[in-house]
Amino acid sequence: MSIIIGILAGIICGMGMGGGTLLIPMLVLFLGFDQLNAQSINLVAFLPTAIIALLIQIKSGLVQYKQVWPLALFGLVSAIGGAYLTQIIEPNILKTLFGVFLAGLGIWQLVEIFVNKKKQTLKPILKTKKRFSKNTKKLNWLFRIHIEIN
Amino acid sequence: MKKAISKIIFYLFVFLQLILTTILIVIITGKVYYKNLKYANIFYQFTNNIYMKNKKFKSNFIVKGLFGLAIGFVNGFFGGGGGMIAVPVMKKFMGLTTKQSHASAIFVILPLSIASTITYITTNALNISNGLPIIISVIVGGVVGSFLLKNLRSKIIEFIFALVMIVAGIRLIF
Repeated sequence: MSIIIGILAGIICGMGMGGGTLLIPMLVLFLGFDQLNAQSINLVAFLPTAIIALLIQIKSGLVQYKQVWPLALFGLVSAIGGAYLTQIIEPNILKTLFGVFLAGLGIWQLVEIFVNKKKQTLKPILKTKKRFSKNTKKLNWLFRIHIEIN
Repeated sequence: MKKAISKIIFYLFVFLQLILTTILIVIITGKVYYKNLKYANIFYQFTNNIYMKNKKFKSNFIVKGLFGLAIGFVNGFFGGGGGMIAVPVMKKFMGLTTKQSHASAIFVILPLSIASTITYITTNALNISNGLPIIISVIVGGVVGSFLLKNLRSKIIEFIFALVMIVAGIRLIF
């Protein structure tokens, strides 16, 4: 059972869809791991795949170091802080917060899928509006909502 | 006593997050307002980013730092999921293409993951005897997935994936 779940999560991860976010709930819900252990397993399992992927991406020359390094620098500080906070906070609260986070990500992804679909049809309408006076731009989001309702 | 302390920390955490997001929104709107589109408002900005595609929107150092703090916190606190935030942030606020942002996201997430893994191990959160078979099978699955299934990715699979995430999230809450 644990091997099946592992391989499934790995395949999703390899497809580049964030398999780690599914591995943790699967471990907790199906195998009865505690939240903290599941999180640390996910992190350890992610490392080797990420190192290989990074080496491949560096060779392809797609990594934009100059634009991205502040993210890594500031992130390092709060990553360590966040990892320590898991020790202080109660495991049940951590589980609940993770659930909220996961559901939020899912909802956001749904929104993204549907917004991208509608953007194609909206583009020409909005482009013509660009020529109008500046004050109409202010109300563009209202127009958009109106269009969506229609 | 311990319960009370953790409750206080929980509310503090929520409060901090609220403040952080507010600051972020204010900075982003401010920058957008003065530099890119003078009269568009924030809802318009978030619902479609046509204007951002025309004039490449680039965040400054402070905005990047705040985003970095948020990504790092998520990655450390939840043990993953930082990449799912990093990719859209790079796409929408730094003017990178999809491929570039996927590549750069790994570059950002890897040091964060190493740091938080070390922290987890030093605080004895990891139980290696339980986890070893899962870790190995995830690595095997990852290799298989990256070689075989790149083409299978589609809107329908993403939709199912999102639904599964919502259901799992709700199960974890209750």
